[in-house]
Amino acid sequence: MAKVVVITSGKGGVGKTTSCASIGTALAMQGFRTVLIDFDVGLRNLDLVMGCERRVVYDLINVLSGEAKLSQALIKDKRLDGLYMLPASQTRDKDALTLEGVEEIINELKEDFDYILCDSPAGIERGALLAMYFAEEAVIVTNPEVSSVRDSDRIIGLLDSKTRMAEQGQAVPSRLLITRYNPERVEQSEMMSVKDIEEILAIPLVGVVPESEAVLKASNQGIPVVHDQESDAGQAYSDMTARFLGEERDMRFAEIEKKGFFSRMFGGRR
Amino acid sequence: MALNLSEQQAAFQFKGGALTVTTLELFTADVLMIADELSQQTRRAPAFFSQTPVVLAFDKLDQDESVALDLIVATCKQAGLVPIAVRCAQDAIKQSARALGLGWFPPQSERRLREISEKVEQQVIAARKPPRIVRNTVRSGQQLYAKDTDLVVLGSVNEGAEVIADGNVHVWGALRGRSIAGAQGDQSTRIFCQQFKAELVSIGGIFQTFESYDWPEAVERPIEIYLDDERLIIGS
Repeated sequence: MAKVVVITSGKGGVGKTTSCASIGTALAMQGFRTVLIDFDVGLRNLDLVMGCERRVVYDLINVLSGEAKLSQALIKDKRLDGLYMLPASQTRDKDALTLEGVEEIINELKEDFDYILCDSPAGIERGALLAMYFAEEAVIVTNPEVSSVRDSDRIIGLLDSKTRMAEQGQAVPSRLLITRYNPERVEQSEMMSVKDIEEILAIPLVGVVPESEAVLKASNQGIPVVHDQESDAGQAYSDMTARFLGEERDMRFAEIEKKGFFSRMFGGRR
Repeated sequence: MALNLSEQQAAFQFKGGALTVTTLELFTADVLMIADELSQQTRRAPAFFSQTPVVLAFDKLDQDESVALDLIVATCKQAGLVPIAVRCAQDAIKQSARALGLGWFPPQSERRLREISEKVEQQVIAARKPPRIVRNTVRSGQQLYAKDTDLVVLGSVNEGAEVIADGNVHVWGALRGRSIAGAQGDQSTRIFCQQFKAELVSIGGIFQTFESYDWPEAVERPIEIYLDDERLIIGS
């Protein structure tokens, strides 16, 4: 039976879409049939990060309104088998999203997939609430910054009250993914530490992704950063996904790495 | 015609209501003593005695003491008071009141007084409801209110969250948000927390906000907040 996972944060620009693309890709690499749904209706982004923007014909709203079949709107990833995405609409507004419509689509996808990842829009409006409503698990993406932590806190509160699981008296298991982490700046008290964030949000940590140039490069090229296993961010997403699946792995990238001789000589940053 | 009845203007209307009326509770039936004391009081506060309706209460007098009601009423009128009724158990006084055109109230019986005190006691008991217990973290944007009772939060109260109680507020984790105890004005209530990083605390309507680094030394200790003479005291 498929698992519905929402990738959410409250605040915008913290790396939800980047994380969704990389987690989905990593799950597909492990052999799980995975589909990514972009709920950010009006601001299509996930297709760009996945590098399939030129193959978008039909979108989520077309399916919801019956103008296209689900199979017509699903875009198959060109690099991995078993990875699909359902793009958001750029031309229609978010009022076209309905609870019943979303439920129908998710139920249909459940028959064919192992993981359904819902990429939530920022904010706590309709789009974000619909993205989380059917979630059976949540990944909370947070930057080491007070405003991001506070918005994540708000979102966890909503997950505990505004989801189907909450209405049935259960809590949606939520896990914390810290992105854009820079241990050196934490050392200088410019950034919140993993410990501070964990203490406030009080949910288990699933991964720490370091601040990395590789992320921006990967997004612009339309290749999820997890494909770049040379990069620290790519490795961090692999680790995170493994932990998400229940494996135990050391939490790398949360501490300052001792720089080797060569990198000190050449100031090399990946 | 009957249909038009409702449109006829009423000559008057009876209305129930609780008015505050001064009661002149007499400890003696001695008219001279009463007159003497009244004149002293009148000199002190003449405005108070001008055309003030009073009820003459005889509950404190002995049952068989003879009372010259007409003289007492005359004395009151001289002082500017307007006796409107008497309150007594004695039939004689009631009769003379009727003769003088005054109203009559039954005495405040022991039973009635007992009922009042019992009611007050019941109210006190009713106010002591079991506390509202919250087991998880209270998150940004959430607001909890414990009506007529204490609020116990076993987790933390995060920034942007608000915990309110008519009684005390206990936070077993860190208090980072806002906490309001004694929301109905009870200034004897308190706030307790294991870690103090609050944005705002209020007790019985007296509040204080905190900048983030106001209490660096208080952060790691259990803290108790209470009112001392309308001043918030934050101690450990």
